[in-house]
Amino acid sequence: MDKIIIQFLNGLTFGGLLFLISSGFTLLFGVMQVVNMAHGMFYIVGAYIGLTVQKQTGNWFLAIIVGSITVGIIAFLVEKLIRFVKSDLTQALLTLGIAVAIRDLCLIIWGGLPQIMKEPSFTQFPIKIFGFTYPGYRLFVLVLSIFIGVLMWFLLKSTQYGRIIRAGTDNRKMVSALGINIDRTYTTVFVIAGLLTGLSGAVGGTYIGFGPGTDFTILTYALVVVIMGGLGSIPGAALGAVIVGLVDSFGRTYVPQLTNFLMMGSLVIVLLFRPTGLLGRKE
Amino acid sequence: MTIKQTPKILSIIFLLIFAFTIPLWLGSYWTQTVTMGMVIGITAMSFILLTGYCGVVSFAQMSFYAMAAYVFALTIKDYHWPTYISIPLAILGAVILSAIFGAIAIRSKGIYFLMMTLALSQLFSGLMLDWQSVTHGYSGFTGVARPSIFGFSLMKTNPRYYTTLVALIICYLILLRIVSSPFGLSLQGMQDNTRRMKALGFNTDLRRFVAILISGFFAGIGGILGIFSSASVSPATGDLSANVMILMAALIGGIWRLEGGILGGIIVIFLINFTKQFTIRYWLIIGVIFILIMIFLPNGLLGLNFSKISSKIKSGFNKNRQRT
Amino acid sequence: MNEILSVNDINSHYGSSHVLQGVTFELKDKIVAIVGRNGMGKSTLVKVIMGLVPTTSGKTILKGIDITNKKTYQIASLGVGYIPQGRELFPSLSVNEHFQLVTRHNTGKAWNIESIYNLFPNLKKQPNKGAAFLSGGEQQMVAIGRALLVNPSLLIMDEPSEGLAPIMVKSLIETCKQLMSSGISILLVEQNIHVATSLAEELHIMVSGRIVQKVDSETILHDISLRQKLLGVGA
Repeated sequence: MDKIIIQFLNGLTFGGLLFLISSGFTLLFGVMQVVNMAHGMFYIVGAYIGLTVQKQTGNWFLAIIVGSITVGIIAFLVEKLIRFVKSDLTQALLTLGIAVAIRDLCLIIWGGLPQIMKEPSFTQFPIKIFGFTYPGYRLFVLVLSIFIGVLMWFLLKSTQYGRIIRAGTDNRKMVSALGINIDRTYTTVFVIAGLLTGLSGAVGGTYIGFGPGTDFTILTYALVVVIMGGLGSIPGAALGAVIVGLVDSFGRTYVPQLTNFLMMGSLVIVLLFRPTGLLGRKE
Repeated sequence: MTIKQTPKILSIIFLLIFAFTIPLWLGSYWTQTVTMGMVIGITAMSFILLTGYCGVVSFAQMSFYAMAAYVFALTIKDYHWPTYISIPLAILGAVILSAIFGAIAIRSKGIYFLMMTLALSQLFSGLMLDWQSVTHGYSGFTGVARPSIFGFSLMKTNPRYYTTLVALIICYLILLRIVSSPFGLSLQGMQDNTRRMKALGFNTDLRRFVAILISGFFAGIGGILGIFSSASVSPATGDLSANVMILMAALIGGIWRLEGGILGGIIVIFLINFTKQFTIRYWLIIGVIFILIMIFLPNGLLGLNFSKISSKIKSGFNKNRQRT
Repeated sequence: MNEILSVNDINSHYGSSHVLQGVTFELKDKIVAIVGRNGMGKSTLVKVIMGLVPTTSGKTILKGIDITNKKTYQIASLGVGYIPQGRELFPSLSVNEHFQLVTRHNTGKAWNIESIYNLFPNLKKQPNKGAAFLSGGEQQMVAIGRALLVNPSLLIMDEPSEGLAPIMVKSLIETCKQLMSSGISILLVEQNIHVATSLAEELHIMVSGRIVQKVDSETILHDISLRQKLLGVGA
């Protein structure tokens, strides 16, 4: 029974990280119908930059902030590049090209060995929960992801920004017709997605090892979470993240050789009942 | 055969002669490169069947390729089954995988289909990695013995080259036949206007599904020929990078025509092998080339407007004639 | 030279299809009503003016400013309120959020959220209702309110009576008259002759992507054969 609770917590906390990772992706897709294939690359750049900053300064907070901002800047540049191509297919492929090029750059700069960041001191003590101890850092990640989730929800529901984004998802041209420069908003959304993903990279890179190849793994997780949860839905991403986190955690414990198979299976089951994802729009 | 067709036929004959004589004047390494290029070309054609004629982008072709390679490697190396069982089984494996992927992804359209196939292909790659008891995990299968086909051995480069070349030609002709058949035409109709096709009574989902199966079949053939050439398979064989390579091949050659796949496949492999000589960082260069193509040349090399260029040449020719 | 809107020889293509073939007209004062059958290019014309569809050639001038190649949001910011065919409300937003979306952007002007609710008191009852759950008439009110909040000098209405019950159409006509007398000019595109003739003294007839002639409203109202000739059966 203890083992099950621990796996449950593992799944939940991993789900928290997955939500952080996927929220940027679904924000871009839901709002701008952009499939950002460079999403995994955003993650590992956040992780690598965080690693370097932490090594140089010993300050974990600085590391995640710098990591986050760096990816925000990269996202800004990517958004400008994307304007050159028109269809959503070419946008996806363009971001893929960027991802492939930059991941190789990362290989040149940081080498091919797996890396991991050091946990910050304030989370290094294990926490007593439900009668036994659990790593503090993982709970911190869960709390952080819930916090950011609530922040995003608030942003979307109550701010002018959120209104523009929601209306723009419905009907981009009509928003322009009301005198709102929606292109500028979209650039900002891209940057926010970059900041979020970069942050998730540095945060995730502190307890999950990363290296070349991690970017594609992250992209896969983000895709599965977002397809399962419903493209363009932030609550859907939260739900999908929890499910994937739990399946992954229990899978790796009980049937490690077939974890991916379980993941495929879960995706199939969800799509059978809800072809557009759990909380997705009906197209 | 009309007089107009003569240049076309002549150039095809010339191309064939050229292709058949390559091993005579190209060294072993580069002949092998062309062989691999043709293998990728076949797989790229299976991709183009779906993209150019069906309007869906599949990021899973290399998964089907890898499936065939894995089945072949498993049955030959671990189970020691004879070739004449392993090869068909391998291709069957590829088709079955394509059926599974197809069934899951079939209702998605456009960009969703791409995302679905990407996720599925990555998960498949992960499965190949995790399922160590069967797939040997990270290292996969190496040193897979090349079989003998119809008597002659594929151990050496040249026999492999010719086998692959013949297979390429046959696959191309079959695909050409399929694409111009009523079935193939209905696929193109579906790409242009799905709703109307449905209204006309075509079961668009079913036809698309069959197209996916066909593409799985040819990708499987690619996988078989591929493992003959490389004698190995691993989780990396079918992962995202490999699928990007197929995508590149199709984009460079031109995604609207089958020939583009062949051209693109050979170019991409040449590009990779060529770049490898100077730096191991060939993905960086490929990525940049990719970006440039997407911005400047979205229709690939075959998409360049040759008719404009040739009509300009023709009018210049006629001008000269009029003077005399 | 103080027309509100001047459209000069506008051409526009959709692919290779030549949809607008040299449209020319002027909106000098209160209203211009453009009528015509389906598919004649009326909606395209409106979209071209709003910058939603590119102009192949020709000029559009709004209060002396050349807006032919301006971006949509720039055109709207110059004081053009757009009420598209089918209303095109945002299903993700509530009634109030529709208004907040626009007003936050332009503060302290003639039209604000309160004045919109005064104009349409029915909307005040359920301001948080999702736009997808509104009736046709309510949707129309939100669409008009939304457009008014950009504080326009020109209101563009594309088939505003479409899908409305007769009593709502009456109310629509009243609202338009009210707006016109408050100084707002209207560019009206309509298939419904009665609406068009109730608001404008003459109608611009559009056929095959061009304005072919102007007809006096009284005349066309009573001449059935003229109506049929210009506007098709059962106009």
